[in-house]
Amino acid sequence: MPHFNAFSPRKKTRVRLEVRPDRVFQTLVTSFVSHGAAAMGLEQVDAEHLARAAEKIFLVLCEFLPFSKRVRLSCIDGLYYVDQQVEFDLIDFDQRMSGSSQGNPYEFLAKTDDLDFDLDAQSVDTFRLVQKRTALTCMLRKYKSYPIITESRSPIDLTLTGSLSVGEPDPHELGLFVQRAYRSYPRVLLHSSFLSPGKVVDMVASGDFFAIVCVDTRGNVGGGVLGRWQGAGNRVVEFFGPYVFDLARRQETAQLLTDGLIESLARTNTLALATLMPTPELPTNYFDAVGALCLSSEECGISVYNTYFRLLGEDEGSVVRVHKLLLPFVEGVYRRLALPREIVTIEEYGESIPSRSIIALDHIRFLSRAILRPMWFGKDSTANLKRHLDHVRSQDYRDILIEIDLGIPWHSFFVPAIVECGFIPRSIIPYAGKGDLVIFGEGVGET
Amino acid sequence: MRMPLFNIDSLQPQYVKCFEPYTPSKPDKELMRLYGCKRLYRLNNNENLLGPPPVSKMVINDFVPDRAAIYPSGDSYYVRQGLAKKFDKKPGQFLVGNGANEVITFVIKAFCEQGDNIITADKTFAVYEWVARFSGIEARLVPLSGFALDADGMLKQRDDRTKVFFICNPNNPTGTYWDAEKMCRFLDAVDGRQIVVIDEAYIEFVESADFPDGMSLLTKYPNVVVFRTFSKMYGLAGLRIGYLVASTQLVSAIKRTCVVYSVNTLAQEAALAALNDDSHIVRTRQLVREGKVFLNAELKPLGLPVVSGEGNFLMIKLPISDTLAYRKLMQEGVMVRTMSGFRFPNHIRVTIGTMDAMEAFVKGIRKIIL
Repeated sequence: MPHFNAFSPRKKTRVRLEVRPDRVFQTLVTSFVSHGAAAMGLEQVDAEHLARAAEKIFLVLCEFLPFSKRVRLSCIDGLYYVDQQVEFDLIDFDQRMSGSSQGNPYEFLAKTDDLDFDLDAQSVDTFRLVQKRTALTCMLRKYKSYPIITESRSPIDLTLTGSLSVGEPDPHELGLFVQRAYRSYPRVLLHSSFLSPGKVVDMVASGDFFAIVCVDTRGNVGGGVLGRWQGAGNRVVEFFGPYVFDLARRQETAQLLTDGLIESLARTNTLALATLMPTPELPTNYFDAVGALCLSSEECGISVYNTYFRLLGEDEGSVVRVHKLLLPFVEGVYRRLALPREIVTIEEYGESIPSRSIIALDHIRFLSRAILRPMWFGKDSTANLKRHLDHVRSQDYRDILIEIDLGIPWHSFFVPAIVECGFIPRSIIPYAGKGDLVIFGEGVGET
Repeated sequence: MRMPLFNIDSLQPQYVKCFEPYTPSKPDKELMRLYGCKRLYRLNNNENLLGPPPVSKMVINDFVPDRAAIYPSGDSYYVRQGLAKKFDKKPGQFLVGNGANEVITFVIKAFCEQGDNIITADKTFAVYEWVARFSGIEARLVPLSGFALDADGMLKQRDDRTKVFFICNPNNPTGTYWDAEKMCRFLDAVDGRQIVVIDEAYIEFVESADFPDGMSLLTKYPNVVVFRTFSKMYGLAGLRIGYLVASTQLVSAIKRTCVVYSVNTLAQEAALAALNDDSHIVRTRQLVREGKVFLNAELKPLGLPVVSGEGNFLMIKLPISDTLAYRKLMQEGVMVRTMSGFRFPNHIRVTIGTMDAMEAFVKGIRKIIL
């Protein structure tokens, strides 16, 4: 039985550049990112996209940061992606802005939303703002290119021999597992990287993900599960599967994989397991149903997928910040699952609110899915959300989801805007963010 | 003034950084508030629901508060005398610790260095594995065979760097045990090359005639260390006192890593008194016997598989997640132990206790699964 010693990512290669926020360094910054990302394995065209995105941020910072301060750029090789981080101290920013009408640094940061990184899918794959103490980091990520499976998809039905066992796969077994899962399951039930087995092998090697596979006495790979750590402190595992390839032994294989998954994470810091798109083989009695997502795919059309969750130990209870519009939904789930939560209803007290909001957008092209997440609340939340939704819809994404974190009080201020845009709460994944994560889906024909 | 640079990360060994601290349950009062229950039956820690023996209660009641200002006996002098008398050994064969958990640490620290390994089962008491891991020692975990420890599997894992085997007998949480013949066969195979710890935390509950008394093996097998505790049968879990017994030579070696003065005066005196109250053992065994019969009879019609062996507990497989069952039972005022952490998903472990607690548990389990 494998033992995943909690989230322990591989040490990543990182190169750094520190410069004054001065346009004279523009070329240096662009060149640093472009050459750094290319050296770390990003294709030249992607490295240049990343460099242009970093350059845009740098130029904005040149406008707003004092000349004497520093901007720190880091180029990080994540094995299957390259991250470009642009970091600066908010305290530097505050000094410059004090007494100004633009006193809130996030007013300035809203300008990054105008850069439309997330709306321009070619620019970067993800864009995030992360605040740690007094430093703010703009994180730009671009995934590396991998060969994709070109053979036609046709379900595999293996015949496994003898007793089955569960273990951590070697790269060959992992690649085989991914190929077989890709051939056998509709896209909607796969992680978006399953089109590229080599990428999944690197994802696992990076330590960001892990996998377990089920093999028979001859070493035949009869199924598997892919998992990744997420949430604050990486303490929730989101998993994909279980995928099984011997239909005659599907129940046995799925049971072994589920037991193996739980046992391999027991006695680690992992709090819980969650799956948003379980395969039909998932033994649901191991999990608590926490909602249902209505998702579409080429193969299955529009279907409803129950979402599941389970803790690995006792629930210590937590405080959640909930907008009154969300109360009936969260109270219903917490009551049904006996989750001890202190619900604090959030409300606005007439305090000053920044004029601009920021919303992050993740494109999952493989699944034709877009996920929106609040990054900063502002007066224009509804208009901004509509702008993002219009853009996503114009790109023909089949599914749009919105996530808010009940552990971050201001996230719930977005709820009226989300509801106004026709979305309704579909699922709660406890502890998947800083607190519990609520996932909204489009409420087509529903109230 | 400039703050000195302090980087915890660079100071802590990687094997400690990887280790996740154990989070104990919150106090009962907090849990009752959290889950909205008015009373709570604690069936999660295999405590003795009858409490300590009456003689120990008297010692606790009579304790003069001013004595709290005085250090206890650093090596639990009188407790070791009492144990030696009861078990016909020498006081020097006993080492008393702040619960059996502390003596586990003594043994691993005394014999293992980085690169060494210990061998135990994958589904057993977790503390052997934890202490090894946060001490930078590899813990080799051997899958159970059925619900029992796999002697051959453990021997196969042995190499030149194996220092200690940990055998929980009877095993927590399955209640299975190695009988005298199996235990001796294993010890013969080990052939004195490693320390063999036989953890007998639950021995006072054992009813089976063929159960081996680890202490009787010490003469023939000088590499054996036996662990016992006052936390279970003797109802002194809150005072934290346990001990190990081995040959004088072995105890002398282990003492090098023993932190003295770790056992408080009240614990020592209550434990010493408890040793002489055999009637408490008889009463508790009767309670456990009746409780097991009751639970087995009540759970059978519910179709719930029960793993019931030696010890004051049994393990039940549920048709729902054990962690959901825990929360729902908490709302009913019953606290059980989820077994996912023991690598038994969808199982719970229930302490056998007083009949009102057993009835409350059955009522709760019926409510959540029917």
